[in-house]
Amino acid sequence: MEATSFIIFMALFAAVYIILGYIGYRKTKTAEDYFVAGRKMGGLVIAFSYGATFISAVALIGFSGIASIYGYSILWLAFLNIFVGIFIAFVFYGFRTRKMGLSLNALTMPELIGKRFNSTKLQGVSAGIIAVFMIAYTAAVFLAIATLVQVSFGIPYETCIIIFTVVVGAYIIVGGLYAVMWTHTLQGVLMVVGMIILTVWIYTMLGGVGAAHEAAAALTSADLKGIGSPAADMAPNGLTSLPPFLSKPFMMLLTLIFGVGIGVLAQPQLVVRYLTAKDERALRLAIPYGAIFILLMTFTAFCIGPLCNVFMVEKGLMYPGSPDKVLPMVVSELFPPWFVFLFIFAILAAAMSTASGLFHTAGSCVGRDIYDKAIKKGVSGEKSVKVTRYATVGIVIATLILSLRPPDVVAFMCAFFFGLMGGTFLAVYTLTLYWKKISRAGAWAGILGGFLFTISWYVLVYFKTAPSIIGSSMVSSYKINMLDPLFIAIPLSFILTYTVSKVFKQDSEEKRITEKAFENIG
Amino acid sequence: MILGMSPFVFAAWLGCILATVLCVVYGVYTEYLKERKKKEKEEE
Repeated sequence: MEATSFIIFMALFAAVYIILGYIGYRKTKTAEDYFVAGRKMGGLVIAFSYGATFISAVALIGFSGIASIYGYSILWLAFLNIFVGIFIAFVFYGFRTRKMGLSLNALTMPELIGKRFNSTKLQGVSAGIIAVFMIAYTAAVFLAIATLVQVSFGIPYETCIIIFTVVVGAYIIVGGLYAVMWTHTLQGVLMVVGMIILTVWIYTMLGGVGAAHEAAAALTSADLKGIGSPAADMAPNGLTSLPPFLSKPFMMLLTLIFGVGIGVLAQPQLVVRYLTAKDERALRLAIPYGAIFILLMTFTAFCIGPLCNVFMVEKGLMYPGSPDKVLPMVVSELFPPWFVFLFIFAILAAAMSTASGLFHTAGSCVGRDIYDKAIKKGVSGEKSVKVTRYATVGIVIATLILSLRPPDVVAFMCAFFFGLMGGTFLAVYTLTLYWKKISRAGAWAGILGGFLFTISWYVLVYFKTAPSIIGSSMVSSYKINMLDPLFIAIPLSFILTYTVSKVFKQDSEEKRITEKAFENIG
Repeated sequence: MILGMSPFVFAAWLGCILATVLCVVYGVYTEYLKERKKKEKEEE
């Protein structure tokens, strides 16, 4: 019965998405329409699309599970999600990115970098890095949601993966960014409704905010050990206090909070949202809407996580073996079936919205940045869209294959991807927007230096990824191997970009382009 | 303990709400107050 209901609702959802995809197709006349939704989007749609792309199912389920283990200290990540991910991102990056994108007629993040430094090779290499790792990130998103649907409704994993990939792929390929942003608004509303009901219900059951937190604080190590939760070891000072300075749990929190919290500034799938704004007012309005959206997503999810332990102790539920399963288990045990259904569709909406944003960006990277600009050195707008549609089909197929047989390392791709994009692009992207003397050679050094350092750190040192790739970390001290590569990669990339730009200065053509890039920036 | 949380954790909890308020105030200021001032200046 449940599986039948799921299939009926999924079919209804798919129908709505395909209709929006068709309307997007009818509206798409130019390359600008396909890549940046005609630069016609308003504040509310931008906010929902930015938030829905940013917040995936992993952020809601995975991080609430992590909060159940490490406690409320993870709220520092929710703070960075709002302050850095919205305020700093829009105020210090959004406005300038839009202005520079208009001056240089750039439709993607790699194109902005490529045109700013007059280098289609740099554009192609940047797009290649983004596309390859984005496929793995999208596979990780599908893996998480397909596992949840498989466990909840008994539908085979492979069937879930095929349905989700085909539905999301279909409306993106047809409708371009119009379809992506409209479906994001719909999915965002569902996510907001689901999370508000869940949060209010849970706090009400526990007697309000103060009483709920006090109940979490009162849980002893013995209580947590009794349900088999790793929180007994990972939150040694309790769920509502910070772990001891430089202890293993402290380092874990530090790497999670800064890896995702700072890496958000250079995510290509988010940067493209700035380019869709119809005017500056739209970006200004997206700031409050976006902040409220993120507050209702991450802040609520991270607040609920530790409270799951209170219910588990009260009801005698055992830790399900993985943080990803904590919230779904508590919801299915405590809530009526209609809400379990709504909750899973809210999580599904979060996964599909992130995946659609990633598909569109990865397709644009391969179609427009690599084939059209770096290989063919420019084709007509219509052909560029056609090529990108074919490229997106390829990306969808690659993701499908990877999701059906995912290697172990794919599960870490969400944290990995944010760190990799931050380490590779943040320094160059920041200096591109703020420093007129940055040169092409400096940009190459910053991007390649940041990328090579970050990837080497993940492969050889980082405690989560190195064991899956080379067997064990090359550095035994946890204070080093638990450190997020961003802490070193970003300063290194800034130093490389600055130093090389000082040594190999801009040529006359680069100087001309710089003046053009800054013509609308005061 | 404040609202059942240690001060450092409560700071993060409060920080989330204050960061949202900052974004809302920024939006309201730039949308209404700044625009009104601009219009008043233009009229002068």
